[in-house]
Amino acid sequence: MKIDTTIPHPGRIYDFVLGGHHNFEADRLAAKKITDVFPAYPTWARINRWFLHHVAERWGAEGHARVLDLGSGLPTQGHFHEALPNAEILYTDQDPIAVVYGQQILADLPGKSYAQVDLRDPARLIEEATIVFGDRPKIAVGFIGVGYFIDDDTLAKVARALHAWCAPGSVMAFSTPHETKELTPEELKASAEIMARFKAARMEVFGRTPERVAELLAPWKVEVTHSLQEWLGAEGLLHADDWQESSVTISGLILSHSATSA
Amino acid sequence: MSSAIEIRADELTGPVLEALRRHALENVSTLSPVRLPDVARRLVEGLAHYAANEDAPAAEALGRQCASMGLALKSFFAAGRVLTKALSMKGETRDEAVERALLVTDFTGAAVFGIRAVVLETFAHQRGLLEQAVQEAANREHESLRRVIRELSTPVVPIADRVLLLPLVGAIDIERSSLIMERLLEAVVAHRAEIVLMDVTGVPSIEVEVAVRLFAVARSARLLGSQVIVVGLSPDFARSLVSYGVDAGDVLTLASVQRGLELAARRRAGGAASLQLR
Repeated sequence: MKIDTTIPHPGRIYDFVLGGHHNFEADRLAAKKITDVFPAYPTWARINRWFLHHVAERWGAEGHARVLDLGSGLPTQGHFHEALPNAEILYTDQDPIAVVYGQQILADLPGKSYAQVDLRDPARLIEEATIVFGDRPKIAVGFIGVGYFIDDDTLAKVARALHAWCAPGSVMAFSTPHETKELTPEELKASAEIMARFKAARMEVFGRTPERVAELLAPWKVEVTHSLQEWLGAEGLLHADDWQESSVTISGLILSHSATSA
Repeated sequence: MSSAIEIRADELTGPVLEALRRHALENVSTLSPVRLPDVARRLVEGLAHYAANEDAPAAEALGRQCASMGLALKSFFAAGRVLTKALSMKGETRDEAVERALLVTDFTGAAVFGIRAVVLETFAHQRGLLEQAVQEAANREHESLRRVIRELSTPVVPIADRVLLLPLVGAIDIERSSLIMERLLEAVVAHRAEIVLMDVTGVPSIEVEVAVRLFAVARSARLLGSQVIVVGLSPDFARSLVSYGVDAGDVLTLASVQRGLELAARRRAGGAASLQLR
């Protein structure tokens, strides 16, 4: 991936809508084009990030000591390494700037590393992960806020490869945006416009219901599915407009390795 | 100096938390809603400390702490309004109500200095780190490209059993000549090469120091049991070597790759045979 800060990058657009300053003019303009038609995007981005916090704390409480995070972007505050200071964590991303940035942040933290990998290449991903975790490790896979940028075939291929590589007892967290009802023609048109804006920002989104995600991530086994609002108890936090302006929701799934004993 | 105003945490924390929750989306994403009770508690305790001690530096430090957790000014002001209202309503006279409101104003004013400082520092810190990351990533990309170019500029090709061809194209400087030596010696060992044809047809001219090093490469290969034959010397190249006084020593030179191949075939077969080219 070439370094060109005049081209918007998904990770930096995401950072901008989350309120960060790790972004350039091109990223901010791309974010504005999206929020012009989808004002709830910063809300959703925050809730997605808070889901990650929630998952990190859950995994900490469950004693998971190894985390492989996919499409990590900029591992700023609140990411896995803060909630799981004693865990061995490998962050991954294809963006060289995010990787260097992450390596700077993590330099003095034992057991935390960052590798430049395109997660759509599972062989390379597993090669890098094996260097850190060894073969057949029991791990927790963070697949939050990134799976919906991957097409069906690739997503299924990555899920199968990870499942074959890691040991029973491994878990995965995944988030997926999807429609909550049948759309009217007007809503379909608006939805298509939103998707076009995301695509123009090099962030083509593949919305999927939790049921469809479960099919694609098999043989991983879905343990729990809730909307992110439910996961966070966040419904009372938000203004009604934030929910009503869109028929989209994001669901968060926790999955386990299919050979994990109950 | 201390104020006689009593701060009841049990009465104030709940309303402050509600205000913070209503403005949860204003905060930096690092401040998850699950952490808001902790922020509410800190704010009320901070106000109680200020009421007792008028300790402005402590209020500023509290502002810094909360901002570091991700609390935005807008959320903080919302909490401040709730505190002002709740506290002033407890005043029994108008003057008491005003005094209580002023206490909160002074407290929030001091805390805002801390919040503002963190916001500015965070901006500068994040932008600085990002600039560094961009520079470092560009350096890595540049180095990676240089490595690829160097690799491509020095191909070592096995062309027959134990015979290697090293076609050199373009200008050769000291750095590249070092790379040639490194790559060639590695290949000699890896392929157990007996003969290496170093083709300099594509080398337009050469510095004396570099020419000396290339012949040194040939002699190093000899120590590993391989003979380097320099082929494709142009008349200009040859004249340069003579004028510089470069001694080719026992390194064999031939006019073309074809002549080199013929010689290699004879050497390998111990007579007039042709090479089985790969």
